[in-house]
Amino acid sequence: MGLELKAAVRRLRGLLAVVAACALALTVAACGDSSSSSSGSTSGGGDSTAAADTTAAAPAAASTEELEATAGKSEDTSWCGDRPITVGVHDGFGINAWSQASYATVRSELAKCDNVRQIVAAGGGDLQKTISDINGMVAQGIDALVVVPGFGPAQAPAFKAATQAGVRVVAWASEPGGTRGTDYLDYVDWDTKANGAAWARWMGETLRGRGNVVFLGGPAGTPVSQNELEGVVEEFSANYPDIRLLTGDKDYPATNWDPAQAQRTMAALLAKYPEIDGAIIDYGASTEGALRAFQQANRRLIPIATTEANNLACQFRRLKTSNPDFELATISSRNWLGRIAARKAVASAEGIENGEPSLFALGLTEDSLGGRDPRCDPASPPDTYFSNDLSEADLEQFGKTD
Amino acid sequence: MSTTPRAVLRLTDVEKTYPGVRALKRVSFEVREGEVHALVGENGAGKSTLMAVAAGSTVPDSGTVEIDGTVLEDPTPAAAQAAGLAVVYQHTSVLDDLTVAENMAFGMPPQRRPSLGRARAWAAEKLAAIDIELDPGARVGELGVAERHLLEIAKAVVREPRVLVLDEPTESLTAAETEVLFARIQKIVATGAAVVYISHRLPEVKRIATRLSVLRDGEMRGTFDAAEVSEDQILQLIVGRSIERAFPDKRPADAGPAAPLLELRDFSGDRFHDVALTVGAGEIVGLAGVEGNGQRDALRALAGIESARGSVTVGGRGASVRDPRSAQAAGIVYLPGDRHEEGLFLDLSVRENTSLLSLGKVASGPVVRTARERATVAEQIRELTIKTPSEDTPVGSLSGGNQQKVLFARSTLKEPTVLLADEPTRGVDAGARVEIYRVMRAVADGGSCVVVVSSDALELQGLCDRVHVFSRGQIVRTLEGDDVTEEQITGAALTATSERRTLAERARGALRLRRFAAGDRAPALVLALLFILLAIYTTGRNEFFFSERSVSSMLLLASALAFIAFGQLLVLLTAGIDLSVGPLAGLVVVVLSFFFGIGSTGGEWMLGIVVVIAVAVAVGLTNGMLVRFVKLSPVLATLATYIVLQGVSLLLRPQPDGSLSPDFTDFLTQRVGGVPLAFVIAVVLAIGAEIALLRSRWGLQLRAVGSDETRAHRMGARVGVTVIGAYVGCALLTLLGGLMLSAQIGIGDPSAGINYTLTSITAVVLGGASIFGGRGSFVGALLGALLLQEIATATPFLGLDQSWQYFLPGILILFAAGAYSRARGVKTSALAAPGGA
Repeated sequence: MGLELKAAVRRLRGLLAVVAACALALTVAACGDSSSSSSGSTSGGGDSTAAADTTAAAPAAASTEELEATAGKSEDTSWCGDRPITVGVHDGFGINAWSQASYATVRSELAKCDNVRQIVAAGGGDLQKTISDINGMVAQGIDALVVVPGFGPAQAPAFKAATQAGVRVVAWASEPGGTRGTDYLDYVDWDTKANGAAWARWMGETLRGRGNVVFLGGPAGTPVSQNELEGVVEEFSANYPDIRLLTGDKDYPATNWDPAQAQRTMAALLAKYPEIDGAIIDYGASTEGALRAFQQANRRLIPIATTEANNLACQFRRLKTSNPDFELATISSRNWLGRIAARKAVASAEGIENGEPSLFALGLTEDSLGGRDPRCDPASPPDTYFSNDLSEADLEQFGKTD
Repeated sequence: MSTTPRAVLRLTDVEKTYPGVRALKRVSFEVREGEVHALVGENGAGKSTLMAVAAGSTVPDSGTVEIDGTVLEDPTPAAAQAAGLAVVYQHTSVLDDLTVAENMAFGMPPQRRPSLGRARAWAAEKLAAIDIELDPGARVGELGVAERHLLEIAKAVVREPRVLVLDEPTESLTAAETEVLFARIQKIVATGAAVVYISHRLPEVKRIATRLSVLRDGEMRGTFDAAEVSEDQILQLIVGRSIERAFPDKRPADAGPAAPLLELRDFSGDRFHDVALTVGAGEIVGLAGVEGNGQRDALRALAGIESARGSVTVGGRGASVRDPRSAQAAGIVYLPGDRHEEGLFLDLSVRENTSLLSLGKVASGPVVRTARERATVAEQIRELTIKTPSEDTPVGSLSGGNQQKVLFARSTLKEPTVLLADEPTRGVDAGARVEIYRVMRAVADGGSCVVVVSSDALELQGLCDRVHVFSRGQIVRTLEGDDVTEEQITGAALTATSERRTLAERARGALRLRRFAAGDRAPALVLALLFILLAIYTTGRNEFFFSERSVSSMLLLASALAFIAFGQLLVLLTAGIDLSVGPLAGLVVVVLSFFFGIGSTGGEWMLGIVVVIAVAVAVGLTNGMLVRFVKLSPVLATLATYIVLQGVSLLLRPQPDGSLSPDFTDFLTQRVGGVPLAFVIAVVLAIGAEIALLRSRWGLQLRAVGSDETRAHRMGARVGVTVIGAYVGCALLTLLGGLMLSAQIGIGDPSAGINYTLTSITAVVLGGASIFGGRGSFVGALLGALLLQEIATATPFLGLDQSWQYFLPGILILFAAGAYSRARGVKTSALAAPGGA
């Protein structure tokens, strides 16, 4: 009895090993496939070493396009200076895959400087804790702070106090509130209006200038979605006048950037409009929810413009065969901007000039029609963002607070 | 001068109907000054209802109540008390979370209430004057049944009432304590006051009463001079027929030795040791002794309720009494003495309560066969003549005697080998007693055996074949045959108690430490210690932790939480909870953002302050009224407010907007000598509120209401005002917290306050507050808030993963809740020895 059981376990183990080997082989194949396709493209963010060769010059001179092509990476470390300094790294939430990637880019960039010590913390979605963390970092004598202000303007008094204490505060990926220059040093982020324009341009081309499109935003009234909508509206009216934005020019149905809410919102739109030709959804995870709404309503998938996510790309691959009209274009999740934020903060504390841009009009990082297939790696976590070009080792070592 | 004594209590034509029952039928009742007037009748005859009407706690349908010449126009407990009536209830109405002294002080009319600062000394003096030995500093929750009853009596007597109503006062008293009580009653009536004495114990009634009145089925059957009626006559009046001799025949002496059924050897527990006894089939054995000498503990240990060592044999086989379940498996069935606490499920029906232990008989597999259950229970109801409208009536609505019969029905239905009965006839009327004695004897005659603990020596005399008398946890004497008499039992118990006082003295040092650990201030000390330890540790790892900037930021952030925690504590003290504090703090910030914007004027500031105060008061009133008048549970009521407030905030400010004027935020964050002014205010507030909680009428009332609303109401507390006031106070303190929050974030953010709901509860619970109300500490809450903020501040200094932010408070709460409830769960006896009185 016991012997039989042991033998069964051994057989099972053998089977697992085979499955793992197959998965590994598939992964390698997928990677090879995707990197070869991106290196063939003109401005995609795929093979970093090849791209880095062309932008090895001083990063100060790099344009937003060049930086996007290298995912913000640079061989140059002149911004590090030589004075020993301490830099605080903070994220008001800091508990999901997006935050991990953000920590990893900022911290691996800072780690290039031997003279920089890091203090890292996460607010865990708690405003009081976030304020307390930042005050604590200032009390510990940080020289600069690289921060994702998850609570937006509610963190302004803390930043102001830090700035008054001589800390170089560089916010990124979320608007800090307050005034640039007096309340904080700089704010690095994508240009949300340009996002809208990029999505609209792709949608206009894909639909050949004619059709019904919906736009799904985040929480009601958030400036991010509001600006994106503005970009969409301007692009359509300037270049694609025959595209009709069913959800309106002023307002948008809200998803709260929550997949379940996005699914409900999309289901309602599908019920209301029998004919939708394209969708612009301003967050990749929301798009995954919207896809479920299509399937439940038994509607064929349509071209969708959104932001990148590994799982979304995998879904695209799976569903594309049965939905020939399904196309996908994505914008980078922009975690790599953390590298620029980190460089700006350190350079300022070291008294070194940094001429890199703060506002980034990003292009598409994936385009199923433009030869940059959405990148799917089933072995990676579902919300991996390949445009950041982060090595597994960096994500492992720096994608956390301790 | 007239020689006819004046009436001090006069009830005229009192009528009271409950659904299905006419409890009082035009009852008139008069008590004269200087007399002891006994009120007798079976349980359910209407005695308790009549006295509730006199005490103002039950409003009659018609009829009048006149106390010492004052007719109660609007009957309330407070009005009855003010007119000079005091009641000692059968089920004590003392408040568990208050000390003996506080209970006594709170029972006094406001104008005669001692200052709470010297309540302890005052209580000690009063207790000494009436020969009741209780420790004034003891928390009532730690007292035993008899001790609580003595306190109840003391509370009433010190009021020097014109009419003192004693409802079954001797049920839990020993013979010696009863003598003390009787002497006290004589002194009271000698001053011209009157005593209404309700009792089932007819010999006592005959001894103490001047006159007696008999109630039967809600009707007054007459008032007599006690000296002119015999016990038998009284009994006939009570039950409406003549009854046979109270006790059934004992096991005949010539029946030969009984086969041993229950054997105990070296049976020892915490309060008894080396007990050895044998009970044979067909025998009823009594365990006697002065209260607290281990006889009751031995019985409970045998039932598996208290822990014990030694050998127990039932029917020749070794039995485990590890827990009630294994004791039952061995055939031991226990009839609890405290039927409300341990015996009955008051909300369940007579049927369910009866069949509970014997579900095997009435169920097939997991399904209870209702028909079979009904038949079985109906038979028991007939057998024991349980007076109940139907078998589906909730047990809680039956009279005390009938409740006891239900318990009895449950125990005998189980067909025990050994029946353990703890005070089987406490609170049971004469008629029902006879039936219970009969059933107990029938159980024994059926081949089982019965062990009884009773404080009524006469009962043991009539019922038991043998009596073991306990002293200091040991059997000191065994009485058999003709020696089983009241005199012998009482004598053996009293002569053996000489050494108890010294034992009590010895335990006093340990007691004091334990009492401090169980007190409300101990958690504050523990938190302060933890705070200091964490500060030392963190500073050791990172010197910047103790920098002025760090400490001052920590104190500023802690003060917002502290204010809100104070508010939460107010509500928690009333046994409520306020979940809406978080969203209210957020709403305060949002509202402020409309009035205190950049460039705002003094006029706008004034208006803004008025508006936020109005908002806070409205929220507090809403919460209070939902809880008090709509009778929503506090969790539901404040959850509703939580959602509404959050909605309002989002409606006013969908996105963070409306930056606050730096003048305003600088004003809020100003420092005195490096310490934020707000924190200084929080400390002053905590200390002031703590003193008020302990020493003021307001604080006492708050704790009384939280401890037990019904009892506090009976004692004349203004429950409604207290509860609603607590919610309003909570909202106003949350407003202070909201002000500090607004200084932290500087903008109208609709979701900024939400976390405060949970953190405020955490802080208060860490500070030692009970979520069941009645106890808590403002200083503890302040330290709880400080410690939570310190943990939040320390994690980045220590470079800890942020999960510690959650682990540490979680561990602390578990530790605190566990440690506090353990410390408080330990019963410490506050009763000094009755001595040789």
